[in-house]
Amino acid sequence: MVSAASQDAPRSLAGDAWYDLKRNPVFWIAGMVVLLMTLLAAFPGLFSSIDARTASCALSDSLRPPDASHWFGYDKQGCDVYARVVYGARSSVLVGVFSTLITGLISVTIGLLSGYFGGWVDGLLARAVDIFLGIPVLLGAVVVAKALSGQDLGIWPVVIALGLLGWPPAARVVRSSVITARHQDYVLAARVLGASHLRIMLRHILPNSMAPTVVMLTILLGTFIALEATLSFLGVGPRNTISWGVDIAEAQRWIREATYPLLFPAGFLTATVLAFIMLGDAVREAFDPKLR
Amino acid sequence: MTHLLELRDLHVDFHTRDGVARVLNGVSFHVDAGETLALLGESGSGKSVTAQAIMGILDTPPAAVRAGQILYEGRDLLTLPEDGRRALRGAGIAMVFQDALSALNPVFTVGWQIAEALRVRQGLTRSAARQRAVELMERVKIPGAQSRVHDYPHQFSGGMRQRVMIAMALALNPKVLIADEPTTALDVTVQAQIMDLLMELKAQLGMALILITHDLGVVASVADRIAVMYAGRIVEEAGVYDLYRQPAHPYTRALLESIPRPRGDGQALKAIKGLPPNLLRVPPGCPFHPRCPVELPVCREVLPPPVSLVPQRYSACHRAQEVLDGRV
Amino acid sequence: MSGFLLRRLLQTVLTFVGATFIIYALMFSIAKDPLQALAGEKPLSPSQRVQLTAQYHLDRPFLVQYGYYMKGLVTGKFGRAISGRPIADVLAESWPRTIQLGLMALLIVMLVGVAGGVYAGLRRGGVFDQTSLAVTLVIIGTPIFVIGTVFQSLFAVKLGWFRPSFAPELGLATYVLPAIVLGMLSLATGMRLTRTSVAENLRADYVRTAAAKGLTHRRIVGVHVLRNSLIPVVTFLGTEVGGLMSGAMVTEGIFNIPGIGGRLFQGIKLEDGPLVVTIVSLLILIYLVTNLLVDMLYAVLDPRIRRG
Repeated sequence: MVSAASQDAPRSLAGDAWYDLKRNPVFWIAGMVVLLMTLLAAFPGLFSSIDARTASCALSDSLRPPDASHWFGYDKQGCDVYARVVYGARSSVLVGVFSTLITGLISVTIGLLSGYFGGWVDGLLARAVDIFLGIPVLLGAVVVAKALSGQDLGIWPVVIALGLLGWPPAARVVRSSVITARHQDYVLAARVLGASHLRIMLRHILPNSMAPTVVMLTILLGTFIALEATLSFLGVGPRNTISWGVDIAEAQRWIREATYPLLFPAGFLTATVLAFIMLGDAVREAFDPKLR
Repeated sequence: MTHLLELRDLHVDFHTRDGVARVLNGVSFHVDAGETLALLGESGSGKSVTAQAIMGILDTPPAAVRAGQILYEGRDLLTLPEDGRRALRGAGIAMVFQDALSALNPVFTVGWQIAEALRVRQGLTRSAARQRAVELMERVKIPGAQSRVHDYPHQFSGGMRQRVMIAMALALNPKVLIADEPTTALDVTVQAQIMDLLMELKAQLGMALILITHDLGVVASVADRIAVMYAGRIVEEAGVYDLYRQPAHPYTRALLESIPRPRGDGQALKAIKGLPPNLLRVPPGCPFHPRCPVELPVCREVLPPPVSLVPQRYSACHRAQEVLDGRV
Repeated sequence: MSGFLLRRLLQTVLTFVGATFIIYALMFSIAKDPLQALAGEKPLSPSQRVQLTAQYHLDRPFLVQYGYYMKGLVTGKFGRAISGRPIADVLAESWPRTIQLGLMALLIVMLVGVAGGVYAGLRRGGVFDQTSLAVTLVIIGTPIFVIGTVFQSLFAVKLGWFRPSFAPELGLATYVLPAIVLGMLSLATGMRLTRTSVAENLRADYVRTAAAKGLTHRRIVGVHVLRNSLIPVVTFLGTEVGGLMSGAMVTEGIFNIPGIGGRLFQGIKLEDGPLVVTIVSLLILIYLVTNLLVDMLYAVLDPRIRRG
């Protein structure tokens, strides 16, 4: 065993984690991709001169390969694939963000209550977790999205479906970090000083359990984007919206004649999902003391 | 004279990201049948590495034996091929580890694990091996062995688990038993029981016992000779009474003085100031000199060789004789 | 042990009731016009309305509706699809195909994923390990329908190695490409899990003990390490069933396989509500029962959790 008397100043876990993250190329690449996709979603006009929502597509251009002004070629309808890819980012990113917010809210609430109070509260909520865990997310989301599809509600059926069904794994993560935090001395000190449960939960426990939760939610965001695209692919996604999933479904039918309309949206979708997952992974590794 | 087990000038390095750590620096000792040699030292002194090097179970990417010999019945184990070394593990030299809960495989029954060596290496049938396992468990005084042979490690208490480890080590009738901190993880009362058991078994089977520990108390009643390790080398070796009565090395003396004694007059505890050296950057001279109360300038430059004070007793210190005589 | 079993059984039943209740509620109470939602875009004729109302007891209070639905589910009287065909018939002819697809996918996951993970774990940090980590990460990030469509276009359409659609005359061979697609995600996650498990167990203390007993490296890894490493993997395989079912829906849809997933896929496209809800409920049941079996298997494999 190598024993060394270290004279370095003590480093915090967060400090160590940031140090490692800064040096991790994956973190930066994934971060860049996430940023790019967010920009695409927020300001599509900056990236594409053609507004895919109002563009007129000429059937005579159907399935033409890429050229100088249409970098990604044309789809079956004759529409510019590049413009559709750029404008398609919005529904994916928005669905991802909003579903994650809903899931985050539900899972943090349930996890916090479960982990902090334990006992019958935990038991009851654990049953709820079991029930929702029993519904495979895609299957349940299909049902919900289908049920709400009659009304023209844009992205909201999908957002609600994903948010309502995707929270159990995140709730478990929150719960176990809350349980760890609950046993810390500073919580005991706060109790002794007479702090109310709510105050302890919000001021002391929540900030200290956030790290694994944020990691989980980041990865979940990526998963939700993938699920939204899958739902669109299946035909139950947001209506009247440009979506990567819908474009992929359409392009699949004409695969024998042209591959570009499939490859580009698929590539962007995969890159986005991967970026979120790898970002979350990189942060988790940076915070994991076992890997030091 | 050919000893049963003899180490000569063993050097082992660890290759780490930060450099090469000199973990063992010229370790030499020997042990014969019926003897108990204690390897005493703080954590990081190299005791466990020595044991694992003897067994040949060091992970040899990071670890590397740089020099020296390990002689078992006169043959240098380091020159043997892996098959030859493996044949001796368990059968010639066996080892008992510190934390039986993690050292035993959680998914196999105790009987299965004890009998494994017998089935695999001696070709016994399942039932014959199991019967022998029961016998071994009875030998280490585990009550109800006949039924407990089907239990899993987590179903035993700490002391019983340690007995299981010992039974497992004895399965192939080894001539040398190395016990690496066998009682550190146990309660004090159980410690005494296990040590008694080891002594009894050693006497019955005529084994040599190498006891690795950091606990001066355990060693006193049990060892014949003690080798004190510091920073990967043996700094003093002596018979147990001689060592306790009159140490011949400042480190040994400091260790003995640091034992809390019930004096009742409110004296401060005597700790050894400073920390063990960083093995990545071993300073020249005596490794103990930064912490030594009686160091001389020569200690900083010249590594003290082991000095034989009387037969069977030596100390690696420039002032060994003075320490022995009590003059410093 | 039987107390544990009983509790888990009870839990499964409760969860099933809860989950199907939610599905049922979602389907029938959030839609403004549940009947129309069942049929989707196509306007319902009055006679269809009457039939559906009777079939789903929509004139009764909600809980009673649900009661009838559960009773029908449990007794196997699944009612009819919008098309009029008895759902039970549809299921009877579809499930063998899905079973074949699923088993083949599982086989691929085990042979390639788990075996690969063991190899990667044994040679941690090596070329295979690092490459497989990168590749599996990409697989995990790629939605299954992307993998399906890309593989179909590449291996079936462009390269012609496989048929792009279900071809029953090929027998089991027709499932190969879809099974690969279906198993991809589980393969990737399984490989990573196995790798980590093996790598961790290689560093365990009991490995040192086994070495000290003079056992060969092959035995230490093959018996001691593997037995411990595979426990989480086996349970993982069981929990993957849920993912496989969702994946089957997409895979069978892409490759036109008329299995349960394919029927579900069509049911969604053709907006056949009764079919969709029934199949989803049954799939949930299968998922829960599989989880229960996996939990029991876990207790068999890991003696430490058997007591309570």
